[in-house]
Amino acid sequence: MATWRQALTELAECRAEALKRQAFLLCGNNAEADDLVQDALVRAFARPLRVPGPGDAETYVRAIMVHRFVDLARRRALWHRTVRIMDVPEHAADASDAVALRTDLARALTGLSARQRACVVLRYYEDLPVAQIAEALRCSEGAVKRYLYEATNRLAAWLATAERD
Amino acid sequence: MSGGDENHEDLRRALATLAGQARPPQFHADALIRRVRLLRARAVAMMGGGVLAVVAFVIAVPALVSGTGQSLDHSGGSGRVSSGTATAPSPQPQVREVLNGDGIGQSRFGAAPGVVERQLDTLLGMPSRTYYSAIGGCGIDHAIEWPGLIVFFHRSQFVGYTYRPPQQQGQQPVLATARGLHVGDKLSYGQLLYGRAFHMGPEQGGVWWVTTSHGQIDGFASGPPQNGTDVGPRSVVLTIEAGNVGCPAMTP
Repeated sequence: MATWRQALTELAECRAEALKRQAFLLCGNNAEADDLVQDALVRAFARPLRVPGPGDAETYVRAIMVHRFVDLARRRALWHRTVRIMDVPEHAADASDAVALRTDLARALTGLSARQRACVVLRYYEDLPVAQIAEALRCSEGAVKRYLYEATNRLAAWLATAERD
Repeated sequence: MSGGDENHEDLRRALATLAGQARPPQFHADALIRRVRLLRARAVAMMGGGVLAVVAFVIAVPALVSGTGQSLDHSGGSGRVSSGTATAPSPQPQVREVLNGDGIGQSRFGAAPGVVERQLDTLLGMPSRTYYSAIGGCGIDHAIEWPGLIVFFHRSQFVGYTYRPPQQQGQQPVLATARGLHVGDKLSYGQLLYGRAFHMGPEQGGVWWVTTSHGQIDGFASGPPQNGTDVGPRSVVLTIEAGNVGCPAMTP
């Protein structure tokens, strides 16, 4: 019992910010990102017969986060016709470049499906190879490539603006 | 379709910048540990229930099959299956969870001796009883004893009982508290059944008591001494009592 507690404490205290950043990119807002990280941490250690080892605990939690995010998005889509993944304020208080960049990219990411968004985050933020993304999302490599292709096509306008700047 | 292979350095940088906008996490490890502990306890309980169900199934199926075989054998080849009551005499005495803090089964404290006598005869299935009269001590003036069970009366009112099953149990029903605490159970089992309402103490060589919604149930306990006291979770229930049982007082 001490093992899971130790691993959970270590993740929650030392790796929480890194997990939160990934969750923030997936969810788009802080509150949902906090919920997603907590949910993933609890799910990772709640099964008595399947406790992740100290080496792969973070990988396991990240995989749960991605699955949970896609699952929640699918459930929301079932119940709500229109899903707003990103909750971006209409009038940003700070007009700095970072905020402008965030708002543009955040708006662009809003247009992606949950799986496309997960693929973009895992590929271009976590820098995972396509094979690992496919494993994490439990789909084929071809599907991951298709999601990435569609996502970058949808982000084309934002990418063109970024290149011009 | 080469989306997975393109570099998109600008997208990588922008995502890193965007990720940096996330606020620090608003949760604590302690809260997570509490939630995980609760979920693990539930999971273990469910697994335990599943194992018990499997064990019960494994035990019950052969018993049912052998029981059916016996009944067919007793039918003498006529093809008539005898009734279930005739085929499987239970080797274990019946357990009746009727000992409450305010009486035994339907017999509540305050009831008249005749009523209690009839109801307990029915409950125990044995009319053999002994009468004690003119006890005259500590609020008791007479008592009726069935094997293992003594009920006490004061001014023709049922006021208490004490139960300790006899050594030769036979087919006589075993009485237990409403939640299933038997004489011979460990006090730790009582704690499991009643939680914080269950207490134990070293008085008079070891006693236990529990406060229920129907009043207090108590009794003597004995067993291995623990931590310098005469009673502990590994001690066993010796008697189950409630109400006025005469002298001396049971509970502190």
